[in-house]
Amino acid sequence: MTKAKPPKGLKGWAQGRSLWMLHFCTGCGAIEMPPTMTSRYDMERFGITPMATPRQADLLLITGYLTVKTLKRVIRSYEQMPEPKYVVGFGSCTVNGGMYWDSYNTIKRLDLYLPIDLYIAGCMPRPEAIIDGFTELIEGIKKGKFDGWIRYKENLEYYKRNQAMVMDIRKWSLDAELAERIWNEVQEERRKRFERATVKHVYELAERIPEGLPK
Amino acid sequence: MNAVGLNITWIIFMPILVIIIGLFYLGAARKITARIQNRYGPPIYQNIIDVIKLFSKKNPTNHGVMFSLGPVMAFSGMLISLLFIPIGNKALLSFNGDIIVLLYLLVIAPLGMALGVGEGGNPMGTIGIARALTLMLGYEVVLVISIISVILYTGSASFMEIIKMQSGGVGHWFIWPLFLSALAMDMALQGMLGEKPFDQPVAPHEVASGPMVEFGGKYLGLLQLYHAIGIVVETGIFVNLFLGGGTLFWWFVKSFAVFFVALLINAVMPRFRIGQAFAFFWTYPAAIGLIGLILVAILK
Amino acid sequence: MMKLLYFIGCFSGGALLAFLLGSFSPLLKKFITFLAVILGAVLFATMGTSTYQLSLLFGNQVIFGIDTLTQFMVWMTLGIAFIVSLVLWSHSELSPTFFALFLLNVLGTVLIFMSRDIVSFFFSWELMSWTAFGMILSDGWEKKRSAAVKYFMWSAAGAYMVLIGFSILFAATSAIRFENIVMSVGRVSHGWLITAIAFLVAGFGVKAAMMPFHVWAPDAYSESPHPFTGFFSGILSKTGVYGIFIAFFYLAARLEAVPMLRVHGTSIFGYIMVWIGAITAFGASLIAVHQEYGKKLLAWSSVSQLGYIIFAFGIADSLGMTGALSHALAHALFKALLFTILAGVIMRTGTDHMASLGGLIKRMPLSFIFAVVGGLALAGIPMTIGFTSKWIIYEAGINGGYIFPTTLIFAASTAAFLYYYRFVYSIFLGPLHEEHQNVKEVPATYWISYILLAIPIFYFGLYPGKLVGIISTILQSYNLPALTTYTATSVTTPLGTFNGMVVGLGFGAALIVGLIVYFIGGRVRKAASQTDKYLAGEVVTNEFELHYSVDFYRFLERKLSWLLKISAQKFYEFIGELIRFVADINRKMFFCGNGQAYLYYMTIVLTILILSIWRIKP
Ligand code: SF4
Repeated sequence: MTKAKPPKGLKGWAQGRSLWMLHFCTGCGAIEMPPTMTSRYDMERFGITPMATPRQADLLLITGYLTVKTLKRVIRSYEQMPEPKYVVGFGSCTVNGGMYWDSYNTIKRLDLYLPIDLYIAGCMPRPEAIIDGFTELIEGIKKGKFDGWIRYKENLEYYKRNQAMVMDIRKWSLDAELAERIWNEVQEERRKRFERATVKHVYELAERIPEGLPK
Repeated sequence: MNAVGLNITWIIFMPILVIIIGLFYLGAARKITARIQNRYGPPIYQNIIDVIKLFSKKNPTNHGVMFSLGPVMAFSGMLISLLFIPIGNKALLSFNGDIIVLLYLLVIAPLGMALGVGEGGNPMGTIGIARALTLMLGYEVVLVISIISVILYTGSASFMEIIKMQSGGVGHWFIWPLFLSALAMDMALQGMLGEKPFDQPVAPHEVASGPMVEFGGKYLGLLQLYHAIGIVVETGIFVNLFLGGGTLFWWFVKSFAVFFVALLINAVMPRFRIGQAFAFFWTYPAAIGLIGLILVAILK
Repeated sequence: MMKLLYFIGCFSGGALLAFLLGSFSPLLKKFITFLAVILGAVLFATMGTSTYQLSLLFGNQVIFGIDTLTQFMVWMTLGIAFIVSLVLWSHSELSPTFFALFLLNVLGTVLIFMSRDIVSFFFSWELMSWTAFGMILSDGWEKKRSAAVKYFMWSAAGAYMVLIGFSILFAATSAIRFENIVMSVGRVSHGWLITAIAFLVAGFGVKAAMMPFHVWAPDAYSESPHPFTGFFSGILSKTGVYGIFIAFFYLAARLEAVPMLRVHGTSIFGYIMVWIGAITAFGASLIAVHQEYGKKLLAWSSVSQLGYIIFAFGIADSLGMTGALSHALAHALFKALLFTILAGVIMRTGTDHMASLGGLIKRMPLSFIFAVVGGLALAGIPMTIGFTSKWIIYEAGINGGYIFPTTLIFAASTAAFLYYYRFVYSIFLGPLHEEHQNVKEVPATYWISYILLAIPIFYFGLYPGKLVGIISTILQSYNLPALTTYTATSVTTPLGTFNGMVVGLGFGAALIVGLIVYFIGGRVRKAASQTDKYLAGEVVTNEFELHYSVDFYRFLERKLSWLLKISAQKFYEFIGELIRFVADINRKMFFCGNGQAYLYYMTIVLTILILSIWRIKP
């Protein structure tokens, strides 16, 4: 089987010039979207328009911190999007937790759970920064640089395992069989560790950060 | 090449032309709206890029056979309606059916889409369809009233006859003698095009873009094409009935002018509630249309 | 002569056999019914156009005859009867009485179309009405009482009105045979003739569910046994239409010369019928939009479609009559198809409550396809017979200058999209309910009947000229104005042209183009599960109610509530209340159970009597 590649040429160009985004307005960063969309900065001149449903969207925009509860919905929405699809993390919360670095109910590193194509750093990033990020995304897509969804598909097990660390993936994954299997494995692993766990261990287990991203 | 051969060539060529021009209409619509809102706006060919992108998307979700067939039927229904309306003195198939045939051909497309949306099974989509049908019950009455007044005025329901009677300059256009009917029809057109006070079926904030909610990738691409043709056909009815047709170039200019008026209204209007929209159609436009109809009946 | 007796014997004998032998084996009653209908059709085919005289007791004679119109109506009847008898193969649970009554009902209907005098007509009429009444009741008196009684009362009222109309004609012309009546109708005074026609049209209008005589129809249609409903609404209503045709064109033509009765060159009857038809079509379709039960919805839709026919009859020129007769056939076909599909759904799921159905396309795809076909015809989409007939009706309305009723008719047909979409969405589309996971497709008898009904629907849609041709022959044989500008595939009216074949081929080509464009787009992913939908990221289980089918057009209902409040039913209930009130006062005053009061009344009455016959000689 040939390895899936991101679109190039006409397809890549069209894909880059017409990004329809599903903005998942989770954190406070969402407040920067309206100015970016309206007359002052006007994102639409790059062909970027907000869309109502993941079915129509190419770009999943995560605007800020994600609680575990929201992560489930984000993953569901991401999996419902048709390919090629891109994820943009927005604000430092998605990079490393930002000011929520020690919060018990938000996730810290989004790229453990979803394949991030581009981060826009800042707390919160100004519209200029957003536009800058988007232009880079567009140029990258035209050249076929971003391949997040391919990484997600190829390392599905890795992502699912990470997701299973923080949430019940059985209900929220489209591929129910795989989710069931990985969920059971993770549970088994977790049960084994629990048998000789100290308080410190329990805390670690609740939020285990796996080392290193897949190659 | 003889006339029949030429006509057949046009029948094959016209849909492609109309699709491209329709997509440019949509792009212009976005640009104009942006300018009205003091934005720069996307390039005018943006919708062509959108369609190319939509068709290049992989693995859009499919909910069943009717779900796939819905957008196809919508597209084909619009395509066949297109051939029954004369465009710029090109009769195409319009000798084989009159206005009423066209009115009912126009229904194939929404019906196909409605069935597809139904199989998608998303309640939002169905609410959108229910709203669209309610709106249709509203504007069809107005539309029919003004079409009847034109038929009454000319004594023919054939597009080519009606266009022929308007030949001979701006002064002969039916928009002058049938001003009230034209006004009513323009209001109905606003609903037909789904422009702003009447965009309840696809209201993104209420029903998540309504009928389109489950459609992505090439399904949405087909629906975009359907929409592009639809705009030309729907404004084309107005052009042929009231603005006297014209050569190919002028025909599209007139049709865009009609669309432009709708756009201006669209850009500054908020949205009606669906019940209000329905009631609106059955009050003011219907009353205007009826007065126009009565005037035609009396003066004739 | 003998052939007619054979024909009658075939059906009544079949009925008797089905009734007697049916209780022994369910197979037998179905087989006998099936055979009787086929045999009847074969016999009818051999009869040709002819006239038969049947001698009754005391040397009286009744006349039956077959002409082109009769052939048209009878073939329609026998065709739908054949469909029903085919479908009945899957319905062993219906009692033998039902099968017997069904055969008699078909016989009665056919005889109505054949009868050529007052006596035979009225006899057939009663046979048809009574057997239909019996069939509504055939599975349980308690459940169906209200609908059946309503049907019976209205049928009786209709029959009496027909009887009064005929009696007036008989009294004035002392002729029983239709042709004699027509010949000597000139002797009847205009006043009596108008009265007679009014009574006849009202009486037949009851059967044709003409507003305001329609109130029985939705209840009776929806309470009749499911496989039979298609015949009930498709064919039995056509007897009323036929009656109106006969009354109107045999008799009303005589009134044409009376200037008082003419407005703008049309008889005033025409105006009244056009308006009644348009209001029936419009009002009934608005009511159909708000129905919760499938059968009720289709029943109201039937009332609405019959309104089209009455509208077209009222126009009474060549276009109008062509439209009326072709819509009679169209309505019979698509309504039989839709009711049969609904019968199949009810057989498999046990309900026609639309909110508790849904998603059946996954389990009954064939039924869905034909529901779409039926719906295309109902909504009047080109390429189906529904458009052919509706188009002629619209052109007739505009051409005749009836602009306002025509607008109503257009609105009615838009409302038809609304209720049709509600019907097909609520039953076949949307999510599949948990309890219908294992529903099976309808049996072969059903889908064969679907196919048989779909063939003429498409045939006459693609060849509208053939249908117009048949009807023109009928109208010419009645010396009525007929539409002559048609070829096999196209019809031309004074206003415009419609070429069914070009539309069909064009749409076929467009569909191919659409499919090519679709397949260019590449592969698709099948939805992971039924709940793989956009729900704002939420995941719901199958039990979650995602079927948008309750209060479907709520916003419309809210806006139209003032219109929907006007109801003939309420009016009749008011009259009923009034009568009850008067009767109550009457009872309180006179039947008080007090002996002295009775004695007192008797004295008064006697005194009055004595006084009134008292003669005082000067
Ligand atoms: S990065 Fe800053 S602005 Fe953005 S969500 Fe986090 S805390 Fe809010």
